[in-house]
Amino acid sequence: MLRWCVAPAACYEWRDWDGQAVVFVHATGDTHALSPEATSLLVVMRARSNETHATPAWMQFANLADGDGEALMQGLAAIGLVRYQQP
Amino acid sequence: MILGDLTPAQLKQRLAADGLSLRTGPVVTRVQSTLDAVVQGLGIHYAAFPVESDEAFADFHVQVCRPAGLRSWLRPQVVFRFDGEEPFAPLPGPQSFPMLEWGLNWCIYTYCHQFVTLHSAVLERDGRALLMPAPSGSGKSTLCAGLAFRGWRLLSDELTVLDPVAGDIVPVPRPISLKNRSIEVIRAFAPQSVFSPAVPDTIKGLVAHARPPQDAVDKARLRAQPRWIVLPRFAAGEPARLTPLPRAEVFMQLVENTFNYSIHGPAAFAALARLLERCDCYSFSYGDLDEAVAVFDRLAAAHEPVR
Repeated sequence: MLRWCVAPAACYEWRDWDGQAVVFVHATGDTHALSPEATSLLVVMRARSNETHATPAWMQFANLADGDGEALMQGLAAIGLVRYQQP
Repeated sequence: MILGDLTPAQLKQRLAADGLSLRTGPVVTRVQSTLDAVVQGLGIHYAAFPVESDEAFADFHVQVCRPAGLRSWLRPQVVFRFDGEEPFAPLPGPQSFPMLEWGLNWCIYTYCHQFVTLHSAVLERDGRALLMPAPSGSGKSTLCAGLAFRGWRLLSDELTVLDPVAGDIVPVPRPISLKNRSIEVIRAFAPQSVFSPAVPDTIKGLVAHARPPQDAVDKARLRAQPRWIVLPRFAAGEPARLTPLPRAEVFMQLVENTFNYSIHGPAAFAALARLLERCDCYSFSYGDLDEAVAVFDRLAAAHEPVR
């Protein structure tokens, strides 16, 4: 099972409006608009930032189909907002 | 002193000699040129603008002139010089005044990094600013001109200058650049408007500049509070319609239209977020300028003025 943790808050700037977030990632200087699903997941992960989170929990939370949750996390990892943790 | 205090002969002489220090909003530019079209264009468009003393500090030193060599006689071209450098390729001779205008925009968005600068028209009503970031061809300049000639104060038709600390909009009123059909649309819409001669075959097509309204020049030091962000789109035959937009979507449009976003980095992110949080955001489609202006007048009337 894949396990993930959210990047430290100092690594990025965050604003969200009406359930959709935009982030500025310091390491890359890039700005991204997150989907509502990604925003929902990251709101939860940021609130419990010391925990690692397993894929099925996010899928259940966001009502994502099998595989979609994993793809979402891979996308967030690619822009530097989450990290994969070895189990 | 304003530029209009000079006679045409004095203006020509000053521009040909040491140049003229022209104030446009927060910026002083020392302009030199011997070209008649530049002298004429400045006389038409900048008559009401302040001229600083020769000893005053100038932010930019620019020249619009003919390049050296035989070419200047065979098929005349013009170049824009900035501190002696030529940042652009030469253009055909008749494009000298548009080249000066484009060059002045370039100076601001390339060097004025005390501000966050966006590619966006911006106008003001009752102290509140209306920003219209949009790509070329969207009808942004036509709408901007229409509003500027019907009671909205022009802050700029091209550059929104945001003070990232105070969070307000700094006016940089200058001539309104219009293209192709828009020129005739605005001439008919605002018969009082004053245009310089239209210049054909530019990279943007037929281009003409309209003189900024007097009110815009008189209040060039009066900043405005951001209140609305509207992404306009001209659509022939369609009724004027404002549609609310999600802030995250508009935020990304602002980022795309910010010239110096990567220079400011997180400070620009914070400044744009703060700007956005003070604004209502809409897309706007319109097919008729009168109808469009009426929509914005109603929008302004529905909100309390800034005290």
